[in-house]
Amino acid sequence: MSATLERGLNALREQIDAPVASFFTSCVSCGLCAEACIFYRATEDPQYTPIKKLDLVRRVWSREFTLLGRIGGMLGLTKPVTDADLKAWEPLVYDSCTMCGRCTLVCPVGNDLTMMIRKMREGMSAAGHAPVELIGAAERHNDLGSPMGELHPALHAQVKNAIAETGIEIEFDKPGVDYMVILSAQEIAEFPDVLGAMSKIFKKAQITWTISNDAFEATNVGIQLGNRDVARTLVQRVVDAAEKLGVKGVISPECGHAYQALRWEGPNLIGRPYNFEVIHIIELLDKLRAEGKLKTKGKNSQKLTFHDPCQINRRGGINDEPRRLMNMVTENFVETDDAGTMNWCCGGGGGVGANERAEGLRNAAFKLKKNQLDKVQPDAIVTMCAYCHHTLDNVLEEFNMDQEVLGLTELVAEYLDDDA
Amino acid sequence: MANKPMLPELMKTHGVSRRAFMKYCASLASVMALSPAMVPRIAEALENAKRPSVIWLSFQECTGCTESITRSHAPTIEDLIFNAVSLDYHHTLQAASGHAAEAAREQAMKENYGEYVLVVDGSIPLDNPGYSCIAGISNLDMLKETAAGAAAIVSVGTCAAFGGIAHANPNPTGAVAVSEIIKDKPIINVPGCPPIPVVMTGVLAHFLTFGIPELDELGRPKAFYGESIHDRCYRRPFYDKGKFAESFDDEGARGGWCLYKLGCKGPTTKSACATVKWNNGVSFPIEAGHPCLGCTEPDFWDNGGFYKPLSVPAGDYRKMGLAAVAGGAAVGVASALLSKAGKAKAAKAHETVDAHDLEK
Amino acid sequence: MNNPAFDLLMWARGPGFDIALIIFVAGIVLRITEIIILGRKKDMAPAKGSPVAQGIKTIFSRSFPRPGLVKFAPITYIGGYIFHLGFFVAFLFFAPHIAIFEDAFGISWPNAGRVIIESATALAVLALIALIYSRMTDPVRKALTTFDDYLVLILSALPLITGYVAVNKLFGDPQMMLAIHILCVEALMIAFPFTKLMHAVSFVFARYYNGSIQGRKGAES
Repeated sequence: MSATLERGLNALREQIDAPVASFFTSCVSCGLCAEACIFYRATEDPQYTPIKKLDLVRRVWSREFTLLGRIGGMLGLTKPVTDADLKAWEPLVYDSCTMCGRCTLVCPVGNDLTMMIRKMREGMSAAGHAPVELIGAAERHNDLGSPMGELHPALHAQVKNAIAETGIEIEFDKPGVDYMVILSAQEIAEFPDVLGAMSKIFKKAQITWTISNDAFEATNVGIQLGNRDVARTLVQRVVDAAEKLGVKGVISPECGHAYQALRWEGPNLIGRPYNFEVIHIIELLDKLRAEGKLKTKGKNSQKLTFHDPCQINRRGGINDEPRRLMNMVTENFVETDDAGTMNWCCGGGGGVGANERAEGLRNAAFKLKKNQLDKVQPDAIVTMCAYCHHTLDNVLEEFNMDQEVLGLTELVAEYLDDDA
Repeated sequence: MANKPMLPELMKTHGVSRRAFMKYCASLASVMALSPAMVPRIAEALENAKRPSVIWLSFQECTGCTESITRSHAPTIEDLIFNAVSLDYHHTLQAASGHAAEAAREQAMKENYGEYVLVVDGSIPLDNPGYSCIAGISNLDMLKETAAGAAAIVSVGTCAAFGGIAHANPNPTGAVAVSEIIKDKPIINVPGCPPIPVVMTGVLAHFLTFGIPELDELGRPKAFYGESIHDRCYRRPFYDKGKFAESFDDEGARGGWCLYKLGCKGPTTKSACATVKWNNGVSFPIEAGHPCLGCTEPDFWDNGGFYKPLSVPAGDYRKMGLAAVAGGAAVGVASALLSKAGKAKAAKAHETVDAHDLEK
Repeated sequence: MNNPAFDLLMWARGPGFDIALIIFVAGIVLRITEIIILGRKKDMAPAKGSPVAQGIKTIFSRSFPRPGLVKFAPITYIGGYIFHLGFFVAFLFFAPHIAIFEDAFGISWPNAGRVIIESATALAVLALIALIYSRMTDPVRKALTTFDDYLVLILSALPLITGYVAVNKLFGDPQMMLAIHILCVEALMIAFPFTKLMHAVSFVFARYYNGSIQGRKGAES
């Protein structure tokens, strides 16, 4: 079985529901979604208007799901979607959209364009029109356990380092503990210090945890590809491992799409609720803080600002938690303009960062983030997503900006009160 | 008959001073919005008028127009005007009856052929001319016969001008206006149900003095039918302020507020009622608290209802609306089920994608 | 004798309105039914916030833009507000229009004087002119605009303009101008279910779904 137009169109048809129908019925072509989109704002190119990116879905909905559209189709007033159409729309859907969600929040009639892009990608990917890099990542994750390929050696090495540095044991595949931790490949490869940070915090808070060898990877390229079959396979691994280990909950790490995949899409992908809870690491840290189990001493004195990862704040609902944690361990925390729910996307998410064809566009789109940072002139930027962290590192370098980028979990761990 | 005394003699006999007569001519000029310079001309014309013959034919009518014209302002003066014409045939006012009346009509027609004024009130039935006959002659025949020798025709009342109440839905007699039968004579339409007395006499006086007045596209003299009731209504400030009577005898009605919401057709009705008024300027329907019926306009009986505001749809739309809801829902459900079937088909045809199946 | 203007007025108030009403009501009910029956799968992820409450809240809160956005598309926002507010004031608070609702549903509410109605009408028309200008010149709007958008703009302007002309008797025979006004309204009614005018009804659903999806996650909407 390989990708075909019909498979893609079928996948698209399955995605059309009442919300999609109400969104296309309500769109008044006001163009306000463009004003919210980093890709339009950075390039001023109207082709990046979010609703335009969705035109193929609108055509399928209209022709096949409305009486008037069916009649129009029969009369030859509209044309069916072709493979050439899907091919032409691929860059719009995958290169110029990170599914950041700003358009969803500004549409005056309430359209959730981000959700519709997610749905459109189902059709695109099933028809063979997803970026090759994402396909490659999917194959690797499927076969080898991680989008970066065989990562067990690196994982075990980093765990060993963390144990050595902190003196705290980290065990694999331990049943009956409080939490199973999953990690993003980006953290294992680039920001492994988060392991030691978690170790220290959890020891102090008396939380028991483990990592599963079968399911350590949090990233879900199925979400970025927009393919629920792939996404389901990857989520199922985590669910099976967690339920086999009998843990109370799974900790979703500093990774945007992982949280979306496991917390919000997961139960719908596998068709049932889990037997465990899913909590984001920052949600957990804030909970521990509220329970008095997270004691810190001293504060960071650098001028710090915070970058909200789109999938965790705007699309994930975690807005106040990181700020409470920041206020605990920093004394010079300055918010950018548009901080919080409407923060600007770093341009790396949604598969755009992995997409070589999109590199120029992604760099251009950084303009919006750059404006925010230029105004505040922080010494460092704190964030809670490893891929935002990775993207910011790269693009800041591209723009010759010398700010550091820090992970929030590591920052908090740095100021843990050892005596408490 | 055509040899009655001239006006000055009659005035002396009836004790009407010349001053009073000039005053009447002045008010007539003012009512027709003519300049004061016209007043001597009116007086001269009336004095020297040769007292044309006037034949008044009454067809499918209620005699309301005759009742109205005989209630005109100053009976003595109006009387004079009537005496300034030779009213040779009028069912209600003439002394003769039967064969003698018809003979008078025929003689007047013969003696004044081509010069007499024909006044008509009432509509003419066409479905079966037998519906309305006078002396065994159908209205249709009598009209055609009498119109042939007329200098001009004045259609008095909405029935003669536009068809009136008989013409209203379903028009069982096939009633039509005078102008739909006679096409080769000048016709002045003086509609109203009934028309205002002084409007009728004013039109006649104008015709005697100056000939046919300036007419609008419906053949009505612009002097009396050039403006809408709405534009001259004394309650207009309330319309503008948004103060409306909601029902008869409510606070608004008693306060003299606008009657739009009670069905007033003032905005689309052209007539002089709001300025000239009735009963020597005493009042008119709106002032008495009743919405204007629009009685100077064609088909006013079928204008949706006297108490239905102009803005409200006149048909049985509520029923239509409910039927539309039911129909729309039924078709909508059918269409949606079709869509769901299509979606189910797509789900059934779903080919589970493996990570290795993502390329063509 | 007939007055063609009166005949047109009575047709507009009679069969014309019936036809327009049927298409308007049946069309809207049909399209909304199509949306609702399509349904959506139950979301099995445990809710962090309250989907229903936020869905309902978003129906109203989405009428106000987030702070700082207006300056990036001022004509669209400000023109949009002035048009909608002006249209609603002129439509819903002019006594002859309220009389229609009273006749149809037996409900009534206070009306506004003519000065307010006419100001609202004039502002709404000016806003429409600004919006049509933006559609023709702004690159984003130009790229999005289809025949539907222009048609709806014009059909929305006509009742406002013809209403103003009819009430003020600016020109033309009063009966004819009133008939034309009613016919323009009927054209708007007929076009409603076939065009983006449907947003006036479907926006409730769209905003609700948006709010409920975000609300389930405890995220803002």
